[in-house]
Amino acid sequence: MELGETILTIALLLTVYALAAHIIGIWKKKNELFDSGRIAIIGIAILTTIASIWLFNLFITRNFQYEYVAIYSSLDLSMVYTISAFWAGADGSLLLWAWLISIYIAVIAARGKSYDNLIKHAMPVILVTLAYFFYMLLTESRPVRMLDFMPADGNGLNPLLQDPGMLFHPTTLFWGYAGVIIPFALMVAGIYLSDDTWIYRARRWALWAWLGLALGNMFGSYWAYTVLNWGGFWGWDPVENASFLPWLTMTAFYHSTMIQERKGGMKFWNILLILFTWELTVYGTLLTRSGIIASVHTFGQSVTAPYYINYMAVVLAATLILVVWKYKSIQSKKVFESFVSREASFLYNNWIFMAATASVLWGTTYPLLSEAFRGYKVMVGPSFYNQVNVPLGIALLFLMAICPLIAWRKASVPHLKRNFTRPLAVALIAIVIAFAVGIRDFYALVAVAGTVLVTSTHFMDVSRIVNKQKKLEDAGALKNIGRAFWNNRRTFGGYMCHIAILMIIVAAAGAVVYEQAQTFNMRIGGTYSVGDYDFKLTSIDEYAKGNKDVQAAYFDVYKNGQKVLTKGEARMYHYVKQESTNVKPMAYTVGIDDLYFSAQAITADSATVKIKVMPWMFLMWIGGFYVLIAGILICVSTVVPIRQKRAFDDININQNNKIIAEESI
Amino acid sequence: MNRKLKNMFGIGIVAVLLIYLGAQSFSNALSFYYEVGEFVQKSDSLNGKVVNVNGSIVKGSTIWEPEKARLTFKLADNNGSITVVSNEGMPGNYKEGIPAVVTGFYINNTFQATQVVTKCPSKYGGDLDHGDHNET
Repeated sequence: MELGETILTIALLLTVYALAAHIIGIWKKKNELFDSGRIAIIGIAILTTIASIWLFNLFITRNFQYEYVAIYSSLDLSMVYTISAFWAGADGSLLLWAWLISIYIAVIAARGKSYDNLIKHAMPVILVTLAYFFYMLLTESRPVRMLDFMPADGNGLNPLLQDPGMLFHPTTLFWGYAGVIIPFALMVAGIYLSDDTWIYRARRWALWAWLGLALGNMFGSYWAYTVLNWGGFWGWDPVENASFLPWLTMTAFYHSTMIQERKGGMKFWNILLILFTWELTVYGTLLTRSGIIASVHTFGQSVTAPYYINYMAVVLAATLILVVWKYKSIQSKKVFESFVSREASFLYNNWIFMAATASVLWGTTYPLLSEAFRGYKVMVGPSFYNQVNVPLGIALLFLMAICPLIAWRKASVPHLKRNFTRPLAVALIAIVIAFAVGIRDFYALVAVAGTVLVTSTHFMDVSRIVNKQKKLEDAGALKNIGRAFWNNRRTFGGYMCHIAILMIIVAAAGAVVYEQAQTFNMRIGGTYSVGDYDFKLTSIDEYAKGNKDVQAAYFDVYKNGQKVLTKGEARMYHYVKQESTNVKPMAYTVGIDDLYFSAQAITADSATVKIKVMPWMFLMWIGGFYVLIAGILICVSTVVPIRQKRAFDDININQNNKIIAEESI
Repeated sequence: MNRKLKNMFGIGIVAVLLIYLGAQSFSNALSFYYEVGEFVQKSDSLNGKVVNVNGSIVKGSTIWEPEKARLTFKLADNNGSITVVSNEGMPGNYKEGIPAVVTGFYINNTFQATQVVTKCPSKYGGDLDHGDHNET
């Protein structure tokens, strides 16, 4: 047997052993079985790591006798993309997924102290899944299958995948995908054991998975913007939607866990949300890997679709049976006393996320249903997603503004007046100023109002927390802020995530509403204007770079007579091996604007180029890549102490409610 | 009607309104998807309507006019072929002989494409060059 498949077979056998050890250990109450099960889990991670290194090695040595290597790489492919070709296809992606899951559970298994009853019951769920993945890797989705001949060269990597985005987008997305199974398994164990503490354990992993999903989506968006020549950051492509769906439900879950954590409510809802998140994760893989939907980056026809569909059906059925069986133990406490309260705002937040999920899921799935049940194919255009999700996004924006300052339990009229008069006044002034400076578009004005409202309510809450710190121990302004931040990392981290989302919304609104675009056929020396900018085509060049020929048109850009950009490029790539021509969009940030060049044709002395001026786009990347990551990492840093505190609080939930009520007054 | 019921009623109205608006925009965003042969049969009734057509780019049919950023090619399957014109420049991964989905409308016996999406990855999963050595 081939080396990689031998290693994967041993990993499968160890997984079955670890599974049996856990089940018998639970059944016979034998702790030593868990100890050997944990060692087996660490062994699985080691073996999967070796199998992955083996596949990397096959790519690096360009061993085309392996079918997967021959299909996704070639002699002329640069080394960095040869390595990233590991996850270019369905089979390698499945190995990456299994690898990451095995590492996650090895981390859990290695931490003996926290390997408690809940984890012992959760682990079989993960091990069954992992065994199923190994079985697929050895039967239908074989990344290390050998050919019975040695091809002279490989087919090469899809030119659209030959981009640095290829290093980060799939890996971060699978980091998230792999992470989702852990909260799901904890949920199953929690229901089985009637143990509500699963929610605290799940939060940590949910955050970790959410970070991966958020990053994966952001990298995907950046890739679409700078590589795919869609001219935008989001095209509602079915495969984009596939990774967006679990992010939506995971975000809803992360918010609603706060209600279960603080008040013991929304238990059933949280179970549904994490079930949906895991199901949508697998569904996303089904969409991207099975080729059942025509998309820019589906991976061609595959025979694995029934495997994923069967898995989803079994997971859904088993979880629902478990829920019905244990229904009595998952009764929530009554937490909603008023429609105007912080609890209610969390509920509305969840409704909005679920409405967005339903619309995206429906739009993505409808073409499949139509073909299967009505016999004709249809496609759903981006207008549907925009028309539904833009109003939902606006509602979410205002909810985000209300949330930090609204009282728990029930917000009285004096409370609302006291907390919201100033932010509303500031927002109103902002609208007037925006109107006065010439902003007339409805959505732009709404974005301005929402942005100012969110910023001011968050600022007010932050000052409230800092003042509280000052009253406790006044150590000077800077130290007070620092200590307030450190002692309230989770709140501050959450607020940073809110601000990041706000930046993304502002960027999207600015780019969509105020985007200016024109297509020109220009000769060298010609100057054309878009918005406030003059674009002068200065020269055209052709050169070879790596495995492609590059045609480049160079522009100098002027604003009010001042040169603001020298040698901005519009590029086209011709990949010799693939005999394929691709446009490489180029974006340059000048002041608050992105200047976006998308070449449509380049000849020796002329170029046809679509030029866009997109304001505020830089905020999207700063918000998505820096603020969001920092916010989540700050949240992650607080998880352990807060989890312990909350576990204690849960026992004294009435006492906790009193404290919260006092805090919110 | 008590306060809770009123609130529920209000939320219900908003939900129904949103679902109605969503359904409206959904029906407007739907476009039909045909194979080339199917489309050719129905082309009279589809004249001017935005549709998606799936087929293969016919080898030797491409006319590329870079100064106009205009691409003309034939899209075909076993049951028919159409002439496609796109003024949107060169689509990503364009190559003759591979499958493509064109979005646009049919007018004057020509398909005016607003979008051409090549189904690129399928060709990377295609046959491998056997080479001339090391048969094992």
